[in-house]
Amino acid sequence: MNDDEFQQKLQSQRQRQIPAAWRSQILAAARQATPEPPPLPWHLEWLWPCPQAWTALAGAWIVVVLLQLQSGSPAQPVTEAARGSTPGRMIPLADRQRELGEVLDLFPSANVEEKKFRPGPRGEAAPSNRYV
Amino acid sequence: MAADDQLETIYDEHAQALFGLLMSVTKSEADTRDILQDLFIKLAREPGLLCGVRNHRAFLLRVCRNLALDQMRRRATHTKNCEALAREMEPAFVVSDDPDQNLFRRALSEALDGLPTEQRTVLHLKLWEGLTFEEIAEVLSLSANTAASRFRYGLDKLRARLRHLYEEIN
Repeated sequence: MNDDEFQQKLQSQRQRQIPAAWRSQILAAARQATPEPPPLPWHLEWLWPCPQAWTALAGAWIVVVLLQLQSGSPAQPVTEAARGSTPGRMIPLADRQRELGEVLDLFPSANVEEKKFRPGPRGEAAPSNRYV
Repeated sequence: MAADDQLETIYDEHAQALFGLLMSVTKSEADTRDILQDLFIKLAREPGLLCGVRNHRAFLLRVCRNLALDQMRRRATHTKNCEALAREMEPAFVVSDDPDQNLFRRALSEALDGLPTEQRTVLHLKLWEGLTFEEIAEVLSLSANTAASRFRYGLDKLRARLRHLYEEIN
């Protein structure tokens, strides 16, 4: 007999099958030996019921913050309001109020008083005021 | 639960091969069962044991073979009478309806039992598991050349012991 024939003859001998009952017994024993998983950290336990929802919420907040930053910082309107009350802007308003008053005769002597209090040149002063 | 599924998958894919090897090495169904159970308990306790392993079958065969050798060493220490071991030997082949076939299988079992464990293991992995010599070398932690020579020696011994029966049957 040659090698190949002999090997084929040996290979054709069917080996015993593993007993079917072993599967459940061995797997049950293995399951019992499986260690309990360690408890989750508190933050994971808190998020655990639905991590996707928490992730989506966090994402939404990030989007809101980014949009807010892009549209302008929240301090800017306050600055603008503060700029509106600067003296540079208050002067035209006072002028307009005065003009309105003149039209309505609320300040009829405004120009007169202005002329009255304007100081004249030194030469026009009274002689009694001159030092001799 | 994923770990349970993984264990079941491993069992369904590899348990038969592991059973065959363990029966070949230990010749005891009780020892084979104990070792298989030890292996699956080990897998359950260390879920990452197979991570990064390229050839699961070869890895599991090697673990089983090492567990079997440990078991045999413990058994040899505790058993003073070698005949007690011989009485435990159980057939590795299925019983056939053909009496000639049964005769040959019984003679084959006895011839295999007479081989050194190293040669018997190589023969089993080559003939009934279909492993290459490279894979056998990986399982048994030896070179492919050594695996091939052990196979050759074992096969020659089997042929010598079974020649008369083989020629008689054919």
